[in-house]
Amino acid sequence: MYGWAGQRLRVDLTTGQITKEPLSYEYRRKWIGGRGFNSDIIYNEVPVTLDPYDPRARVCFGVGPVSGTAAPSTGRVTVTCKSPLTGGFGDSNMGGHWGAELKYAGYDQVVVQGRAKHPVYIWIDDDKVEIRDARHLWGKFPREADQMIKEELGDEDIHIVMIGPAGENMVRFACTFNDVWRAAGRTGTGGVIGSKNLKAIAVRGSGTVKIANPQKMMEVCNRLRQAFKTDPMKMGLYEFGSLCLINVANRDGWFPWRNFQGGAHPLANNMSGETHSQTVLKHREGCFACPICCGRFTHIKEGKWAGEEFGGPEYEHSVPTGPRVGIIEDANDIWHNARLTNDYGMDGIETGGVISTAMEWYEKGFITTKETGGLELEWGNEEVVDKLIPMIAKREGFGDILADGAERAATRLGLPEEARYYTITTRGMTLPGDDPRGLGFGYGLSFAMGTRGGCDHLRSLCCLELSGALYTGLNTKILGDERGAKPVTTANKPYMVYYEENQKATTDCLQVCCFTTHWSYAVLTPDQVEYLNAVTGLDFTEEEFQEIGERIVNLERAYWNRMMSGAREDTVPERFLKEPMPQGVDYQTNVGVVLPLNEMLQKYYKYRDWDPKTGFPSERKLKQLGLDYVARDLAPLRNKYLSEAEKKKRKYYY
Amino acid sequence: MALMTQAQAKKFIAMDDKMLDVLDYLKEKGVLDARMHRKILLEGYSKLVEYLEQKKYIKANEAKEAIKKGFDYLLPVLAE
Amino acid sequence: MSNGKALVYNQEKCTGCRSCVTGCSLYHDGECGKVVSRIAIVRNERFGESFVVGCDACTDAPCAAVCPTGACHMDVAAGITKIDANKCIGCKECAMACPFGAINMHYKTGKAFKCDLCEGRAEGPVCADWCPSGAITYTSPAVAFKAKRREKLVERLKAAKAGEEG
Repeated sequence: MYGWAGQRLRVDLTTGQITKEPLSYEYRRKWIGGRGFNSDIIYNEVPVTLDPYDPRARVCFGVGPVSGTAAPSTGRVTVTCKSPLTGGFGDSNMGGHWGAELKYAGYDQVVVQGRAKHPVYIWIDDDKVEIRDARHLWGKFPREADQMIKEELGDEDIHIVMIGPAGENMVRFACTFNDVWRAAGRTGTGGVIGSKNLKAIAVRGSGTVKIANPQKMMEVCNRLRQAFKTDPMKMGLYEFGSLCLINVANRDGWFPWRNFQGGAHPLANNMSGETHSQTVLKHREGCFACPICCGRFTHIKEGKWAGEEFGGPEYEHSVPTGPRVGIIEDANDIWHNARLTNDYGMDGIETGGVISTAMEWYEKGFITTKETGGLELEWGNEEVVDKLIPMIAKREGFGDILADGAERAATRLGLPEEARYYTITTRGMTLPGDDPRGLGFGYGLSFAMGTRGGCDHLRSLCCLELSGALYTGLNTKILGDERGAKPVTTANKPYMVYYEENQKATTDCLQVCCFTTHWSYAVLTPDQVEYLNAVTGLDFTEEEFQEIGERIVNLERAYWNRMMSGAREDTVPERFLKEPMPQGVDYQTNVGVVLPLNEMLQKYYKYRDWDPKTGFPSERKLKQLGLDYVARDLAPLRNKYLSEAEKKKRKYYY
Repeated sequence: MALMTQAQAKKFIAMDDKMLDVLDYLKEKGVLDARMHRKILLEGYSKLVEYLEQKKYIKANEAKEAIKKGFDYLLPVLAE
Repeated sequence: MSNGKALVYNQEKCTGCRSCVTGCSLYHDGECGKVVSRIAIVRNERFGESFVVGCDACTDAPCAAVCPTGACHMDVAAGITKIDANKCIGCKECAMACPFGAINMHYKTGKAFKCDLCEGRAEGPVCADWCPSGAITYTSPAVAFKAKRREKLVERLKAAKAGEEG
């Protein structure tokens, strides 16, 4: 078989049963792989009323037909589950090399269900699959457990998916790693894995991916890799990592200062990629087959954290436990905090988010040291942040309250309704370090509509409004003119988000890194179709490619609809709608801006053919996409959603 | 044969986000069927230009300019 | 060496991305996977270390010296040893003799296979062509070492200057 391995590996940790399920041509053509395979499993096999930590819940690891091949950046893995943080559909994506190795071992997907009686790890050695004791690994940081497994199995070259202590303690935003440091950060997949008493999945693969048309594949891959040599985004990302965005963020006012009270700060350059590369950069890292290599490895040389080192950080990983909690003066504090969230295995975004929310509650007097157990939650208090991150991971004291996410924390603390303004969440999830009043109105729309909880930059990564301007005529070619090629405008944004969300969804199926197709636009949809066909020997068209993405977006959306989430929840934190952006530096470009969400939102529903009253996909659209069963699921729920009783129900969905 | 009036073209050009509106209009006028409307919406503006050239609503040199200059150029041409 | 060029590895620059591995396997075998690659990457993710293992185009090649059938032989024009699959008996002596582990046994044929500098490829070896960081270059070693000496000098001068100012 070309491209695909052709089978899914299902592991039931309750019974110990291991099954290999062949994947038919029809199935592979419809869902492609990666996120597509995963979303289909979750939709069909995880009831919307199920507690995400229930043993019957699934966690899926998916790769695609081009995973492990020479197309640009083909190492990625999508991890999907019902999210413990939001209660709804959740997934996250990680780089590294595990995905390629899984393909070489002969699988397109791993589905884990059930719960082991004690901590275990799964060892996939080509067609031999074992469940092994992991009691000696439980409680260990990923970097320690990674080494222990490699020693135990006698092979330093294997690749391992791993959770940290936070996942074991079922922190609702615990994350999943592979190759020690490459994180699938969001929506709390780590906790679901931990709830199954699973510590790790180790893989060794001695196979290859078969290519239908090797000559054509070589031609396409070569052409794309030559293009990357002079690509402007590649150069910035390779030199300075995703931290290359810090100074741009500061200038354009999307730098997250103090829980998004502000969007710029005079000292932002302390943590820029340029500064990082001159002070603490030990090594540049690349995920599988990547021509960009934006990965970092950091080694802190001076100050109180001297000697600490870790893989990363990314922009999104460092700003939450940095400027978002008011820390910017000593960048080493920021790197240290990123090291902590790595070692404990928690989403840096949600961790920094929940701490910054707690700091704002403290600032506004909603909580005092009585509730925090003596911790003085002042902005920029590194001593407290350094203490609090492990407390959250271990669910100790005030950390236990924060470990459930900001919205539940507000409930547990018995805070008044006004305090919820500061959770900065949509559907229970906070946003990454990208203030939509600056990053862009397209992103803002995307935050409202994201199918893994909202507040998510990666459902669209609609960089046509940012880096798109670097590519001559690209906006015009896709959207019809260049008016949308700047962040602070609503022009073309509804169509942009529609297009980019579809594109991104299929990209997540192939599965390749979206930095090659968004941020950098060196690879466009026609190129992806070309290499997909060269690998599989099939005849995908650009239309089919985009339609598959549209199908997946609608499927994931329908899962939320089944949970009675829809148009009412399609919004962003009120701060962005109400508070004009204050001035943080004199060269800031977006002072006074608020996000004009509603006009874009109404237009977006039209593009999607979703009912603006409920936010449910229309029956016509679902049938057009071959989702008749989804239309049947939603039919009895459309009126229910509009009922008064439903409007009153709580926001996390179980 | 003009597909729209200059006034209509101006109206579209003034719109903040117009792709769907233009495609809906062209479908109403019988220039696109439902299938082509869907395909172009999925794939983007350049496919609209390609289709209009293929069906001889615009000439080859006009198509070239339309790819470069976008709706601002294309819509008045369709109104000629 | 004929054109004086060989693969030169700057290990500090290796990001461990394996673009070289996947390109090599695709170019030579028409399938993708490290088991059919003539170049390898060894990584230690915990510490952020990676390095390239490729053919070093030894002038006094141990692989050719130990081959009992002459399958592994120096191709003077190309400046690198090559393995004639027809003559190879799969004894593995060349793979064991290579000080770097740059020779492997092919899973389909059981015969030894190694780098051939992508003989016939107009743009030169795929690995050097695709390497995103400059860790692999296809160049004259003399030129590469000269550049390295100058790079090190610049580094030392920079450090000295910083020491003075500090």
